[in-house]
Amino acid sequence: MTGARISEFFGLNRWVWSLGGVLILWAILSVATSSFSLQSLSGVAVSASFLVIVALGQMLVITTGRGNIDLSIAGVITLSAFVSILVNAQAGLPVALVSVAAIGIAAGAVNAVLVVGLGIPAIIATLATGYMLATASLVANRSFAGSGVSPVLAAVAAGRIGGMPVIAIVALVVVALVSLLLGRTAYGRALSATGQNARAARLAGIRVGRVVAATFVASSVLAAFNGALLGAYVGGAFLEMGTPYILQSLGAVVLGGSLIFGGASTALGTVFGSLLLVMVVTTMQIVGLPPGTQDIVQGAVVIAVLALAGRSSIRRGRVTPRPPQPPPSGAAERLRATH
Amino acid sequence: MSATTRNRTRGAASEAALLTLLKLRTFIALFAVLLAFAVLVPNFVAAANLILMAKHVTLNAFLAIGMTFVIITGGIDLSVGSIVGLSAMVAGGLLMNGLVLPIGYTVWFNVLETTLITLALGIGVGAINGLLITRLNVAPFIATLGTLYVARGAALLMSEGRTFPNLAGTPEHANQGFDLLGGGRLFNVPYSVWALIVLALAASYLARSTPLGRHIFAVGGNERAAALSGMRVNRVKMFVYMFSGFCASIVGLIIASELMASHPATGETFELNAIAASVLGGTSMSGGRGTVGGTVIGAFVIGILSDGLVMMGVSSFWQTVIKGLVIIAAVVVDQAQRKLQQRVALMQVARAS
Repeated sequence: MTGARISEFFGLNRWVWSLGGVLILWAILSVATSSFSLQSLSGVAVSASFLVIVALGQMLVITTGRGNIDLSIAGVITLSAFVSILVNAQAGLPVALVSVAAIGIAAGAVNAVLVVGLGIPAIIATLATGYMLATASLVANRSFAGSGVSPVLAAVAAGRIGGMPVIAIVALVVVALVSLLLGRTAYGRALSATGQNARAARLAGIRVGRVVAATFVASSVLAAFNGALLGAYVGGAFLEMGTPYILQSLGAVVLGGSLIFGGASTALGTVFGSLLLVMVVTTMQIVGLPPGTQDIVQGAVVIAVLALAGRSSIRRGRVTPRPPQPPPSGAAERLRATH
Repeated sequence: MSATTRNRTRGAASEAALLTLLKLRTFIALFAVLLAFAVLVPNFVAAANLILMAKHVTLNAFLAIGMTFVIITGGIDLSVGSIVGLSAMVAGGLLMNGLVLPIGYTVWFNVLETTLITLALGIGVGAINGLLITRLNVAPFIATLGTLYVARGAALLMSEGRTFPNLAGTPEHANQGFDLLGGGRLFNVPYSVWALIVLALAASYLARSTPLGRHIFAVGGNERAAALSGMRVNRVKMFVYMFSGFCASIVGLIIASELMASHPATGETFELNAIAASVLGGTSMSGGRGTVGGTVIGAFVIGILSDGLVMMGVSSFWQTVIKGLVIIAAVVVDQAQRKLQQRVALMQVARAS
C-alpha cells in the first residue's frame, strides 16, 4: 500500500528525481573538494537563475507537444543583449527595455506564424529564425561602440539583497508565475490538454493554434529579457553568447522531468534541472577539463535522460507519439510521386 | 448536365497542369536564379565561375543527399555539421600527429587509410544516432541534437580548440598527397564534383531500384504498415543515419583537403542548408516522399542564390533572410502540392468510376 503510494508520488512529482540529483551532487562536491564553498554556491545560483528563465520558456513550448521546440532562443538572447546596450547608450533605459520586448514579441510572433500558421515543423522554423537573428547580431556587432550597460539592469543582474543575488529572486518570481500559470489557470489546463492530444483538445473547444502561438511568444520574450540581463551581468555583449542556452535549456527541461513529447510539465522540476546542469558544468570547470568536454557531457546527459525515459515508456507499453499522419487518401499518390 | 461535366473536366485539366508546374518547381527555381544572376552579375555564366560554384554547391549537396534519406523515413539529422567538423579534425590529427598510442608509440597512416578511417568514423557517429533512435527510442531531433554537441565537443577536444595548420604530410611518414581530393581536377572539373556525381547516381539507383530504397520510402510513408508487412524498420533507419554520417564525413574530408588545414568549427550551421536543399528539392518533411535528383537541384538553387548574392554585394544579413524565406516558401508550396495532388487524384477516381 505504502509502496504503491510512494511510486504514485514519484510518478506524479517527477521533479523529485532532479532534486535528489542536486542534493547528491552537492553532498559529493562538499565532501570531495574544499573549493566548493558557499561562494561558488552563490555563483551556481546566479548561473542557474539565468538558465531557468530561458528554460521555463522552452518548457512551455515543449509542453505543446508534436515535437515543438524553440531553437531560436540563442539568437534572441544574443541580439537582445546587443540591442539593449546599443539602445541604452543612445536613448536610455525605457526605450531599451521596449526594444528588447519588441525583439522578443517579434521573434516569437514570427515563430508562431511559421509553426501554427504555415504548418512548418518547429525545429526547422525556429532554426531558420535563429540564424536570421544571429546574422542580425552580426550586423549589430559591427556598429558596436564600447559599453553602455544600464546601471539599473546591472543592479538587477549582478546586485545582491542581504547576500541573496537579485537575479535569483527574479528567477523565483518567474518560476512562481509559470507554476501558477500551468497549475491554476484555464490557459495552463488548455496547454496540457493540447500537448496530450491536440485533436481532442480542439474538439473540446480549445483554440489550439492560439495556445501554441502564445508559448512561442512567451519563450522569445523570456529569452529577450534574459539576454538583456545577461548582457548587463557580463558587462557587454558578444556573438555566440546565447548559443549554450539551446542545449542547456533543453537539458534543464528534460532533467526536470517534463515529457519531451509534451502534455506534462513541471516548473519546479525545471528549476532543479537547471541547478543540476549548472552544478555539473561548474564541477567540470573546477576540475579544469579541457574545452569541448563540456559540450560532450551536456550532450550525453540530455541523450541519457531521454534514453532512460524512452525505455521506461516502452516498458509501460506506450507507443512513442508520431507526427500526425497525412490522411490515407494521399498514400497512393505519394507512392506514385516517388516513382 | 453536360455543361457541368465539361466544366469539371476543364477544372481538373487546369489543376493537373498546375500540379505538373508545382512538381517542376525546383527546375523552374533553378532556371529563375540562373537567369536572374546571368542578367544582374557580369561574368556569372563564365565557365570558371560555374565550376567554382559547382565546387561550393558540392559540399551542401553531399549533406543534402544523406539528409534526404533521413527525412524520407520521417526523421531528421541535426548532427551533420558537427560530423563534418569532427571528420576534418580526425583526418587532420591523423595526418599531422599520427595516432599516439598510450604505450608511447605513434602509428602513422597513409592518405588512403586516413580517408577510410575518417569515413568509418562518420558512419560510426551515424550508427550512434541510429541506435539512440531505434533501440533507446529517443526522438530523432533530440538524439541528433545531442550528438551535434558531443561530436563538436570531441572535435574541440582533438586539438584543445586549435587549428591543425598543415596537412601536407611528410615523406618519412609516407602520408603526402591529401590535397588531391580537394585540389585535383579531371577534365578541368574538380574531383569533389565527380565524387558527387558518382554518389548522387548511386543514391538515386538505391532509392529507385533496390529493396532497401523502397523500404526507406515505405517506412516514411507508414511506419506501422511497413513493420507489419515484415520490413526491418530498425535496420532501414540505422542505414539512413549511417549513410548521412558517411556523406558528412566526405564533406569534412573535402573541406580539410581544400584548405590543407582543419579547424574544429568547420561545418557549423551546415545542417540548415542541407535541410533547405532537401525541402526545396521536394522532400516532404512528414516523410515518405523525396528524390535524390530534386535534392541535388535544390542544393544548386541555394548555392547559386548565396554565391550570386555575394557577387552582387548583398549584406550577409539579407542573404540569411532571403535563404530563410526560400525555405519557408518551399515548405508552403510543398503543402499546397500535397493538397492539390489529393484533389486531382480524387477527381480521377471519380471520373474512372
